[in-house]
This record gives sequence, structure tokens and C-alpha cells, in this order.
Amino acid sequence: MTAQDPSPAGGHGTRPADERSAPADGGGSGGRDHRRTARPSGRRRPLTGSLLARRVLGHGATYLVLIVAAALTLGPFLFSVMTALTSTTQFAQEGPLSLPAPPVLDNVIALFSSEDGFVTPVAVTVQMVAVILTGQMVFSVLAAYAFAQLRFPGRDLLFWVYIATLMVPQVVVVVPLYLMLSEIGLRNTFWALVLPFVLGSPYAIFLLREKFRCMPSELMDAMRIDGAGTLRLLWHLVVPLNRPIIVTLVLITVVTHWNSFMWPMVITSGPEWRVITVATSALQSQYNNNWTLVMAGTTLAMLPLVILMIVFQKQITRSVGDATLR
Amino acid sequence: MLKRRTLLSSFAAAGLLGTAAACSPSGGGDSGSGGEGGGSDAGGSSGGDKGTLTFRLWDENAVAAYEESFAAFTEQSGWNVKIDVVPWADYWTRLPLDVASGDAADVYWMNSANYVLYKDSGDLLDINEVVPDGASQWEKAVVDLYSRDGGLWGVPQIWDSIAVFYNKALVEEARVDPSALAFDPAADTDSLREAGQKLTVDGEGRHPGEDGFDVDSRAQFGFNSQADRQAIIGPMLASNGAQWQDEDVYTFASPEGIEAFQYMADLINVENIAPSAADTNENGDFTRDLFTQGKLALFQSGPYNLLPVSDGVADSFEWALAAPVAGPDGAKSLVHGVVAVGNAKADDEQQAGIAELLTWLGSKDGQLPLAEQGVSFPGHVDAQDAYIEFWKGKGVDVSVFVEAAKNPAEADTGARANAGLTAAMPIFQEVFIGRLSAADGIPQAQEEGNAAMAE
Repeated sequence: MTAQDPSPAGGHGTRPADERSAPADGGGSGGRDHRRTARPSGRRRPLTGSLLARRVLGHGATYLVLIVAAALTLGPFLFSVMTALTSTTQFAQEGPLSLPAPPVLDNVIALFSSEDGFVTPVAVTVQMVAVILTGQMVFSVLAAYAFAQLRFPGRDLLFWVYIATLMVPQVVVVVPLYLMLSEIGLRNTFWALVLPFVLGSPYAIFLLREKFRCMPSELMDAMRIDGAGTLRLLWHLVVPLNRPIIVTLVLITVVTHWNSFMWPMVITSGPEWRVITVATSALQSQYNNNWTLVMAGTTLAMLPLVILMIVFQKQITRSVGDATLR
Repeated sequence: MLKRRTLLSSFAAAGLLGTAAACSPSGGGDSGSGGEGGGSDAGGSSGGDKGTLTFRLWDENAVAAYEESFAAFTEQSGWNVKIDVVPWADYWTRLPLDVASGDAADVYWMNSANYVLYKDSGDLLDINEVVPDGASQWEKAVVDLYSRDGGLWGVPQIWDSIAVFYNKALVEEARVDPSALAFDPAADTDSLREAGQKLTVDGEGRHPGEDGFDVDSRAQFGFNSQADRQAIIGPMLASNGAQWQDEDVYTFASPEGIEAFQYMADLINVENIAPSAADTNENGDFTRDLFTQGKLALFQSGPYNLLPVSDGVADSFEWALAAPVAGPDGAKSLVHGVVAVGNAKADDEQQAGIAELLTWLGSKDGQLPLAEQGVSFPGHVDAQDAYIEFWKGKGVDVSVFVEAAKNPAEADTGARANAGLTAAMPIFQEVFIGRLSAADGIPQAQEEGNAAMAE
């Protein structure tokens, strides 16, 4: 893989700026800007007049849009944290917009101290996500490699049929799946939570196949000549080469299954195998929405994901850029 | 060639994963790895030798009371009981799934809007056969609600009626008598409208009807007229002489019914004594929150809001209860009841235990914990005083609810009651907002509700 030369288009950076420079006084007002080559970062002409105004306005507008977007996106999360720290009495007496005065941890403590507290849901969710993640990554990599690099009759047809299953919404599949698992006797067990998802995800296989198809075959041939089998090839070449996309998929899988609600709700009953999402909705009773408790639950549910995002921030931005540089 | 080290490490990882997985801290069930000591279950009783029954309900607040009750039951009968709490939001989606897969609990909670469906498919036991003398000991309004086709289909557990919560300070200041609230849609004015006018204040301190009254800046409201079937629509319709349904067909679009709906909507849009329906339609807790914030003087609701109001108000103001507002036909309240039904399709070995559990749940001793812990009014007549005592200890006299239950209006029932209400409610909300007049909207709602129920 050769690195792309990041220099600007043209790259004629060797000629000194003086030879081509326009007069250094304020000639910016609609003057002739016939610069055929980009000026390298040598001496800059000071910005004056309307060029300065335009830049300030441009920056200001950009910042305004970004601030509004950030407020709209972060607003609900801030609300959630604020309400989680508000005592129930204050919430009832002063309404939802009141700042917690004083902020209390009573709601969080209530979540964990009741008999059907949050300890079990957290444990169950972590285990479920761990097992699904491992299974999906392993099997998706294997399947994507097969679809990308191996040849067998019906390969492409099989791939597109499999991808077509993405069109079927989860709601449609829930009832037959439920009946099947009940017949086997797996209702309300850990494996029922995990089995429908652990053997691979069409989305992951699709993304990985695209990446695997673009791998340079010289590297793989070289390894094969050296006597590597397919598994060794996968582990030592394919996975390290595609680390960004795999990290992205790991994050997507974790977030998706951490937040999954419908399937766990249908297939489990009782506190033993409840996941965090179901446990949070269980906080709402028939007549009382219990907002402070519910917000404490959602804030807790969010925290691990936020931490994950912060830790893997660099990989995420890198993989986004990577995907767009094709 | 797989090196031994990679083989070993992958086996170790797989083993770790396998044991870590399928291991729930909340008591190892069927698939837990090595059962931890049996006590830390979902709750319930253990120690009996005859077997285990499952009991399902939707209210977390009732679990502690049932655990106490079941401890005594297990000692007496030898049957263990396992409690399964399914939250209200999911209860009615899970129940048909579980009944279909044959996995429903042995005894479970049921309400009047849903029981007919299960009774018609033969899923419920006839209580008259299981607990022969029970009906006379239970609250009559609830027994009537669940009697159908010659049988009684559930053991009343808890019930609620309707009364008016009022803010003592606001009511005294405005010199309103909360126990004498009456309404009459045909008259020019009535004590409810007058009370509401005195109790509603805008940002400048003016009352409705005074010059310069600003509807948008109201700081305090008089009454919670809103599209709430249980607390407002039901009682006020019946108090005006209208009938909600007759033999599972809606009949509320009678002249009295239309008059009542128009009156309720006018309280919001013409008299301005109730908050805007745009707020109350979307948020069921809106008026309760207004009350706990001290901004609503009269709040008509049921005992299910006693705990939230009591906790929410805490010490910020004094409040008490009064009878629901009376109409031309008297002060009628809607009585809802929750029953425990027996699973007719459970295994035969379980049926003996189910019968015993139902008998226990219908007895005074079985229901006393529900009353003593303040869950709600128990179905057994003799156990009700314990509930009144519980609230007397908190300084509130709840006997008003018992009085109100003596003159009940019928709650929703019928095989497709939920479908009907779901179809009619949006149109009710339009009438309350004022976009549809009652004369136009209510017959439409009745038609749509009946169409939905007939499917």
C-alpha cells in the first residue's frame, strides 16, 4: 500500500512565493485573483477588508450551525442526566425543567438497592453483548472471506439472498422465532437471547466482503507460498489489514445489542434474564411514569457506551475517513 | 499447524466464555451454572413440599405484600408460589404469547377490559366452582364487573373508585366547599363552574370572566377536566345519565352523553378552568404534576394516585379527599377492579394447588397484606378497614372511595373493549381540544369504536 501524497493539488511548492506574489497591499476587494497554483504556506497576504469580514462571517455561521446541532443532539442526554439527579419530590413539586437543587444520588441508589435491582440486568446485558459480539465477529469474518475470496458455485446468489434478508423487519420474525424457541424449551434462557444473532450479521458480512474484495492478492499469494493455511491467513493478514472496519463493526454491534429491546422483552420474563432496556421500561407502572427512576436507568445504560465511544474515538474517525477515501 | 499455545489459549477462552455466559446473578435458574442457594429468586415463597405455583402480576408495589401473603399460604398448604412481575407496558403483549405457548402462569392478574377474551377461549376457571361462597365476601361492584354468562371469572384482589383530591389552602382561600361540588350541563351555571372560576387565576391574579383575563398566562387551575376515561369521562357521563355501553356495544352518543362531553370540553375551552387539552391529551401525568406543584386546586382521580401525590406533595401543602362531582343523576364513580384468575389449561397436578391459592387469595388473611401495605383497596370487604387505617396514619381519610364505590358506573368490559377505546379515544381528544363539537364528534367516536369492536 503506498501512501497518498497529502500535498495540495499542484504541489509546486519549490518556487519562492515572492516571484508570483501580487502586491502586498489591500488588493483583496474583488481584485484579480488569478492564482493558478495554490500558495504554499510561506508568506501570507494579510487579510483585510471584506475578505476578513467574509471569513469571520463564514466562521461565525459555521459555529452557529454546529452549536445549534450540538444543542439539539446533546439536549436530551443532558435532560436525562439532570432528571436522574433530581429527587422525586422536587421533580413533582417543581416540574421537569427545574435544575436539581441539590443534586442527589437517591435515584441511582434506589435502582440498585431494590430486590429486583439493576445488578442483574447489567450483568446479563454485558454477557449477552460479549457473546453476540464474539460470535458475530468470528462468523462474519469467515463468511465475508468466503464470499470475497473463495469460489464456489452459487456464491454470489447465496450472498445476495442472504443480504436480502435485511429487508425483513424484526417485527415479522419475532412471532415464529418465539414459537420455535418455545417448542425447543429455550424460552426465558440465556441462549434464547443470543442464538438468533450469534451466527453472523448480514450488515457486517456485507461491509467486510467489500473490504476483503479490495485486498491486494499479492500479499495473500505470498503468504500461501510460504505455506500458510486459510485460518492463519485470516488471523495474521486479513484481520490486521482491515482493523478499522472491524473496529467500526465491533462498535456498531455493541451499541445495537446493548440497546436491543423487542427481542429480549418477548423472549424473557421475570427478573432473572432481564436486560437493561427491559428493566428500565419495567420501572414504569400502570399509573405512574416514575421519570426520575427511569432517567437514572437510561443514564446508567448510556454511560458504558459513552465511555466506549470516547476510548475508541480515534479509530472511529479514522475508519470513517478510510471508508470515504476509496 | 496450530501451535499448542494457541490451542490452549483458545480453549481457555472458550471455556471462560462458556462459564461466564449463561450465569445470571439473580438466582441460577434452569440454565445457570451450578445453582446458587435457592432463596434469592424472583420473590415468592419456598419451603413447601407439594410443588410450585406461578403467580403473575404487573404492579411492583404489590410484590412485597404478596410475598407476605404467600409466606403464610405456603406454611398452611405446602404449595410454593413463585412471583413473576411483568411490567404494565408489556403485560398485555406477553400474556397472549404465553397463553398460546401453553406457558401462562397458574394464577395471574387480569382486568375487566381483557378478561372476556380469555374467558371465551376457555382459559379461565369459574370461581363460583372453585371458591363456592366467595362472592358474598367481596366488593359487590367488582363481583358484578366480572360476572358473565352465569359465572364469576376472577377473585377480586384490588379495586379503585374515583374521588376528588383538593388542595386545602387554595380551597379555603377561595371559600369553596369541595364536598358540595355539583354540575348540571343544562343549567346556566353550577357549583362546579363557580368553584372553578374562583379557583382559576391568571398571571395577574384575575379570574375567568373578569376583564383582561389572560388564558395563556394562567398560573393556577380549578379542575382537571381532561380526556381521561377512568377519572373524568366515565364518572361524568354516568352522572349525567348517559350509558357507556350496552351488551358490548357503545351507547354513549345519547343526548345526555353528548351534553356531558360538551360540558367537559367547555370547562376547558369556554370556562377556562381546566388546563388546555393540548397538554393533557399528550401527558397523562400533567394534571397530577400540576396538583403536586400546588397549581391545581381540585384533582379528580383514583387511589392509584394516592402514593404519588403523597410522595410528591410531601410537606409542601395540606390536601384531602372529597366525593366525586355529582351530576343530575348523582355522584357516580367508575369502579375498576383487578382479579386473580386461574389458568384452566394448566396441568392437572397444578389444579389442586391453583384452587387452594385462589381460595387463599380470596380470603381476608390472604388480602390483608395488600391493605396494610397501602397497595390499594382489597377486594375482601372485611379487609378494607386496614387500608383506611394505613392512610389515616398518613393523615388522609380515604373512606370517600368506599362511599363512591357504592354507586358505580360500569367499567369497560367486553371481548374487544381495548380495541374500541383505542379507536374512540383520538376523537374524544379532538372534542376536548375544541376542534370538533360534541354533537359532531361523539356519534363519530361511537361508530368507530363499535366498528373496531365488531371486527
